[in-house]
Amino acid sequence: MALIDLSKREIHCKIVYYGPGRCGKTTNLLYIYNAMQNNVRGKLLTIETKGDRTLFFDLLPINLGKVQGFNIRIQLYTVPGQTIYEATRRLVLKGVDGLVFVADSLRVRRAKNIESMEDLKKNLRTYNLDIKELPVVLQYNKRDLVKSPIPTLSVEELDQDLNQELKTVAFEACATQGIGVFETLKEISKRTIKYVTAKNLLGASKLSMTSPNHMARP
Amino acid sequence: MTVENIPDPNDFTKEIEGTIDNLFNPTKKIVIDPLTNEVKEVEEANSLILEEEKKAKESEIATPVLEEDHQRENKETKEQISKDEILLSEPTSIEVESEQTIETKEDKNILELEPETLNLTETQTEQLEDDTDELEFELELEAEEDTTTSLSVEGEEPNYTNENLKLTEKLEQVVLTVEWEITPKLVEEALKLVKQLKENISNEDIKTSELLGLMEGILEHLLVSPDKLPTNAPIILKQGVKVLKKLVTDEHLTSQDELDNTLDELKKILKPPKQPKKDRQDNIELKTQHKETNKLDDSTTQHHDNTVDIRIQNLLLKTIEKQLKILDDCIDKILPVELTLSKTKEAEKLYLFHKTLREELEHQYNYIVENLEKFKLLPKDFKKRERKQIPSSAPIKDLIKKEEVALCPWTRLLGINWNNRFSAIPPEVEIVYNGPIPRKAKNQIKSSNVLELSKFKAWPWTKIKGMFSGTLSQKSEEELRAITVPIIDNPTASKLFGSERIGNHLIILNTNKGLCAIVSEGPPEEIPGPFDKNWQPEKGKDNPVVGYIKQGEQKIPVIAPERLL
Repeated sequence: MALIDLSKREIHCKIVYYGPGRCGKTTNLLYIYNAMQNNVRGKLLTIETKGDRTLFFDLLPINLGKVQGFNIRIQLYTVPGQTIYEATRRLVLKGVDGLVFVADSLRVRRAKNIESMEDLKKNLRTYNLDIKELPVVLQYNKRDLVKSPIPTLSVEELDQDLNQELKTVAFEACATQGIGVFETLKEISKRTIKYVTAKNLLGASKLSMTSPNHMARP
Repeated sequence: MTVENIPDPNDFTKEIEGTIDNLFNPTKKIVIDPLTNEVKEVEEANSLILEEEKKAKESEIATPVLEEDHQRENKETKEQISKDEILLSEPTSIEVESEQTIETKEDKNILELEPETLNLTETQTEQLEDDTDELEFELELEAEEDTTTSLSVEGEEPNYTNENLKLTEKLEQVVLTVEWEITPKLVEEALKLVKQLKENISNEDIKTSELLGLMEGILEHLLVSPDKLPTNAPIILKQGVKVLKKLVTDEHLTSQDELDNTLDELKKILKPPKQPKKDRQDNIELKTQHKETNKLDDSTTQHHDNTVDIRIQNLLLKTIEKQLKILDDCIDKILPVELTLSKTKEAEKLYLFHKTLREELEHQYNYIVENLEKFKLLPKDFKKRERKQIPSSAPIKDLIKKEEVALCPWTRLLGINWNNRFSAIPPEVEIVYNGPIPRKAKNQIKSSNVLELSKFKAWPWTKIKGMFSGTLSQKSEEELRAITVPIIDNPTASKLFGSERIGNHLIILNTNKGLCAIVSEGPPEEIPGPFDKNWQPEKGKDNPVVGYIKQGEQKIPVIAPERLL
């Protein structure tokens, strides 16, 4: 749940990068951390595994500064993708305000993408949250492999597997090169802020939005 | 919070969106290595790529014949490959190489093998295997098909070495997949292969069987609790398989120590880090206790639990050491403040607060150190805290004590002319009667050591309740009439006059031990303090004289009335 302190005029939002193991969640955060302006982003909290799997979670705080007197902070989290860390994933999801689902474009990971999406929905339900009511952005990562001989999934296939129900915006990305990383971040940040503001601060009726995910594909 | 403080919703979100557009942009171009997470700036990365390309070109020029042969062989392979799909787990790293070495059907992007029609010579098969090794594919088996079977050399009689090679290659593939994702199914499969290999090899080579034994141990742990093993366990397993493969094929190891190093690495995964001898002994004791309390049937689980125990113990010890250091620092910081406060007038409460705090911290510090010493868990280089010395080389505690002794507990006192001796009593004693001696009580006061409050009434119908204050004013008339109060004499008065109560004033005090009456030569008067410099305490808990205060030439005893009861 977003932390909104009217007396201190602060808004804190929590965005979680979710997805199957080795899909590029930590790479997304690493890219953001290394490429973003130093004064905007905080310290990346991560357990160094030298390219190996995320053990607990990664956290990158971002400060938007003051907007109309409100100090706005966004916290980006990742979850460990490996199936065995289900409890940790559930824990990281607590109080989530926005979600980025990072899908792996490798064909061999198709089942894992679907499994992870189902796992996400299941874990959200434990907090009485519905994925359709939260701001969600999809990121189809590793799109650079499409041109390689390695079997990959088409955007249509990924949409069919993951976005049929959500009908949210999806970005093609190559996190190692930063393609689509900031686009994803911008979109989820805007949606999350809008959602949080509408839900907690201003009253849903005041904002002209029906669902946080009903927006056109860019 | 007023409504005016909440901004216009649409303006607010628009402004935030504008800020996001402005701030969320990359300031530089970077590339992240997907294998190591190493971040490289694009210029640096480009130069590296160019260097690699240059090297590749040079090697092309240097070995044109080899390349041609290579291409020819690959062409042959391509013709024979079908059906079995090889799935690449680390595609980005092999993309360029795969283009150089293996031609594939572009439309399907699939490498195919057809075991039935495979008709390679031994050299060709080896070459193909070498190519696969060079690429360092991390393979994931989509179907449970034995791809290694298809790579077997036709015409050769099956023997142990050949079977072991097949098993090792299969194990290699499974371990690669385990590195990608640890699943019970895959670990079980790997364990099965290792056990099979162990059966085949055990009689041949001790070191190889040791290698297999360690790999078996790691896999068993991976099966029981994968999240508790070091994260590099699958990588070390992979390293083990690589060495095993060399041993099975009688290939020369790259160095003499390669096997030993791998064995050491595998042992490290299973065993906790080395500890000092002393600590190890205690750990053995702990382990024994652990075994006694928890009767674990499974020896593997037991070993693993002990390993975890030792790690937790080490972690706890480190934490406690840090805590001790913090406690030590805190005490050091409090001491000078405490000293200063002890010398400062009217800072008694602050001084006592700091003193208590310091003493509590010291107590805590000593408690931890004593317990650690008891279990011999203190590190060898640990230096126990010593009391700091002030420049005069007098122990701080003594100095504090002196300062403490010099302090008078009261800032004001009540002076009474009592048995012809001016004395003081502490101000906290409640005075419930302060007035002239009632006429009817005079005789009793002269002849007795007790005073009945019923004597206070002048006539049979007179009420006495209104004469008392404080606690006594809350009692009923009947209760008051039943009370008898002891009369106390001044313990410092001259014995010559001690028995004489010449005063005409009566003070009844309510102490923590009960009521008592003092016959004085006038009402009490306040003696203003502070008395720190003029205070001289008396020893002894039962001594009615708590101490003396000096006023000019006069030495006034301070008497605690309750000690006279």
